Amino acid sequence: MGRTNSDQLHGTLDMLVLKTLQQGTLHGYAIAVRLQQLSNDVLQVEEGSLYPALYRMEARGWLASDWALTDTGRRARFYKLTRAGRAQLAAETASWNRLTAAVAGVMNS
Amino acid sequence: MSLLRLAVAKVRALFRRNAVADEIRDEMQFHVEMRADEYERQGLAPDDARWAATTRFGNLAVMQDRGYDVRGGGIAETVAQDARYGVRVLGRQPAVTAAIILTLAVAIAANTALFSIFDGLLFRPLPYTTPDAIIRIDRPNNLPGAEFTELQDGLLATSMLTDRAQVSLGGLFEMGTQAVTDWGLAPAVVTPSFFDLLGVRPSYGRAFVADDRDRTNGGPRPLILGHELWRTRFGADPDIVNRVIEIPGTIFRNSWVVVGIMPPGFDFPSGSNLWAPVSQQQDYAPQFARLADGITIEMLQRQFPVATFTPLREYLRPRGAMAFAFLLGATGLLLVVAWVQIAALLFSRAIARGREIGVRLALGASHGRLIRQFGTEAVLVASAALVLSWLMARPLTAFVVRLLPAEITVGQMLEPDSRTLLFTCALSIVGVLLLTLLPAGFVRRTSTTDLLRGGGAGRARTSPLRVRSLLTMTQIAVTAALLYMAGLAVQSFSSVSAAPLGFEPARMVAVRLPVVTVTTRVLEPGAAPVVDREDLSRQMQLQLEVVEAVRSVPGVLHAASAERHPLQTGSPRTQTVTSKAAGSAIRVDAHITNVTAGFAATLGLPLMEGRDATPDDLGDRIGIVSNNSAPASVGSIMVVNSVVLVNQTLARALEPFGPVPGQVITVGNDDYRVLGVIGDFADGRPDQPPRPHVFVPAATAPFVIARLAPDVPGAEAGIRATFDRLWADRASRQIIRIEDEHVRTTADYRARSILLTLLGVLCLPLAIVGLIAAQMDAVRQQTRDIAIRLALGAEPADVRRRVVLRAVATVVGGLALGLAGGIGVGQLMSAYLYGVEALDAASVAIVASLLLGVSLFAALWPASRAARIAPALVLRDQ
Repeated sequence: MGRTNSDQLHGTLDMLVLKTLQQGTLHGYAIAVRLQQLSNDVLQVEEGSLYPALYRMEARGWLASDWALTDTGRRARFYKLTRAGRAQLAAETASWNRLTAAVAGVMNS
Repeated sequence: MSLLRLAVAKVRALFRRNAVADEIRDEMQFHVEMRADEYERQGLAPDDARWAATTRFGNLAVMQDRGYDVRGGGIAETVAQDARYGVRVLGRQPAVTAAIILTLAVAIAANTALFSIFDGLLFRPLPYTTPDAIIRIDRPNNLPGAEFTELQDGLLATSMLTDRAQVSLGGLFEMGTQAVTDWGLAPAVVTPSFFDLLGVRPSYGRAFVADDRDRTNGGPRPLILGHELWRTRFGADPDIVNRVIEIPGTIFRNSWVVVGIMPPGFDFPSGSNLWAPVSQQQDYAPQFARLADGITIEMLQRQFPVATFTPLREYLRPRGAMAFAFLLGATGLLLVVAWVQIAALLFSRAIARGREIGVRLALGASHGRLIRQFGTEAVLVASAALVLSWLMARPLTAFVVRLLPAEITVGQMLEPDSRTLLFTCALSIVGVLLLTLLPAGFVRRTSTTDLLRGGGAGRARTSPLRVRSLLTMTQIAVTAALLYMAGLAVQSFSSVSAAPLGFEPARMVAVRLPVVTVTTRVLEPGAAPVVDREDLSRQMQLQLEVVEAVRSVPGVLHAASAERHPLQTGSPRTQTVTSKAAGSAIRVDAHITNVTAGFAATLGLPLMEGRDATPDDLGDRIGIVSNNSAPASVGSIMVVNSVVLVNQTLARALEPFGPVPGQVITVGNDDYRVLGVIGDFADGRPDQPPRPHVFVPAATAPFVIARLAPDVPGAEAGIRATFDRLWADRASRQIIRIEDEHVRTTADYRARSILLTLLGVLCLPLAIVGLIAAQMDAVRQQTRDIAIRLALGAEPADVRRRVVLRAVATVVGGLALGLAGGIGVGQLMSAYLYGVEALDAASVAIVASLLLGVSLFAALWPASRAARIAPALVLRDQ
């Protein structure tokens, strides 16, 4: 694939976003909050950079989005996984697991 | 679905950039507000909460931009951006841009026009419904009465043909009168089936219907106008349909009602521009018809062996048209020159834009993006040129068609069509590629730092300059080649026009006599039919009377009769001639023509030896000369006394065997004594050397040829009146002017010389502008070098000389290439040259001095610019 380093960084963020959306439809802010909660505040991204990532994933067909009202009645854009997004998440999870297993193997030796 | 939505979003972004940007802003705003609310819930003051939320989000503006980069218009957006940028760049130098577009438009239009003509002449299916099934029918016009009727009835009745159309020219109009000539009337009288056969409908009004033939008695007659006549004579007024009009030269003094206007280009069958329905209720044999389904020409020929059937395609497209094909190549060269011109201009602009390009490269633009930028600009230029050229193409085509010999272009509807449009687009695409790749190649080969530092070629890099001068040289070469070929063509035309014909075509006319029909009678049952000599001699007598009557018309100096008129299309009869004196030493194929006494005098042919034939040389034996294989068909009737005249060419072959007069020669199977030798003359085309020719004295022959006195205006009308008086029922109204025939036989030479000259003349300014622009660029780019030289004490005259010398070197190089090419092409087209060799010193000299002279003059401008450079100013700026 010849991916660059920055692509790999994007890839990690992409994977996390896809993971948060596995449960259902969320708007951007909710994704950021969920990322923070799930990582126990370890992962704090510059929140703005979430959006270019979302748009890119939407352009690749992994996400679909639409405007809707939140529980409090405010307009927000909601994102959800597409079929391709699920497949991508599965692939990324598998490769991540391989990588972390390998790294853990090295570190624990 | 989401892809579709995305596409919609991208397209929307293209047109409503703000809508997309607003959405992104709203979404991010929402995020920041939510985060601020959260902080407020945690106890921060609203302002602090907002500040904290914004900090956590990152730079809102940058994020929006990055978002837009992904979500925005993408390719479509960058193309639009390129286009906007391109328009700005092109608009920066409106004069140059206009010159580029105009140059291109003219070149493309010229190519389009010529392509549509050549395509129409050579390749395109005829513009009629199922043209392959349309045939031309020719009958031998000297069939005996009974067979004639039989053939006519057969052709009218057979189920092998449909849509039979009968066509005659003139007839209802007094052709040759001043008014008719002024109007340029070319009427055709047709059966209503004519338009059904061709399947061409009028653009306004309707075609003829069967009823129109009944409307020919009393009241205005129906009429269909050609597009050009309608435009020039009736101001292209569509309301003229159904109006009653007057047409000059109308024989029956009737008025006309316009029922339709034909589409542009329609001029079938003979450059016609006006069609009237056949007036009588009579049905003659058709000249054109459509083969019924499943019928071939061969089947038809077996059924009617006497008639000749020709596919319309062959009838309309004589092989001579191929001779014009090389002109298409020449026009292609014009386009090459134009594109090279544009490429050179844009190339120099690319060099001049070096710094700007360098900045974009340094800011991270990819080479691909830059190529796309060049491509977009080229497309902008090309599409503007395409639109302009398409507007110019139609009038230009009409103009060129008028230059071409009518016999080649007739019936072809030579108009730009969709095929032509395709061709034109293809040409533009080639040009766009050229315009894109050339500057792109330059940018690729030059490093960004060089571009930034020196404005590209500012450091007198020689490579772009050399490319530039090569481009200019190419232009000069192509122009020189075209001008050289034009020189050959013009000389050929003037030689062929001035070629001695052996007679003076001016004030010589010919009229075809009515066909003599031979009636045969069967005297006893079972016996062979014999010729009705009484009937024959009556017709012969009538022909003699006509010739005599013509001779006595005031203004007619001489008149005689002959089997062919001079410069007539088609080949004369040919037979093998041997000489008694020479034994088997001589065997030549000679033309045989029956002529009456006074033929040589009428043509003004000198009598070289012996004596001319007189009426006394005709004996009392009636011979029948057969023109073709059909046994009873008859060409001329003559009374044979076995004497002939020969021309000089044949006499030269006979001379070694004794004095020519008195020699006995064998023509076919008959022996003749040579009476005298007359001068050679051009029988067919003036560009062909005279062939051996035998003139057989006859009592009558199919054409009356008359020489008219100068300044006697009524002579032609007098001849016409004579025919009307003596032979009213069958008289031909067409007076053939031999001078017109002379023009016709040289028309292809004229067309070639006009077209080639036109192309050369179109190329010349392009090449000269190219030369000036190239030298200007060179001066501009070498400003510093020149300034240094001037500062070090060089004389302005030296600087001037250097610039001029460089221009001259380019021109000399181009000239050498172009003239060599022109001579090469001249050798290839030597069949179309007359009285000039492919290597023609005069043309070389003219083209070389013209180009050198013009370019010397042109080089003065950049030279004086160079000499005016002020060293102090230039060097201080550096």
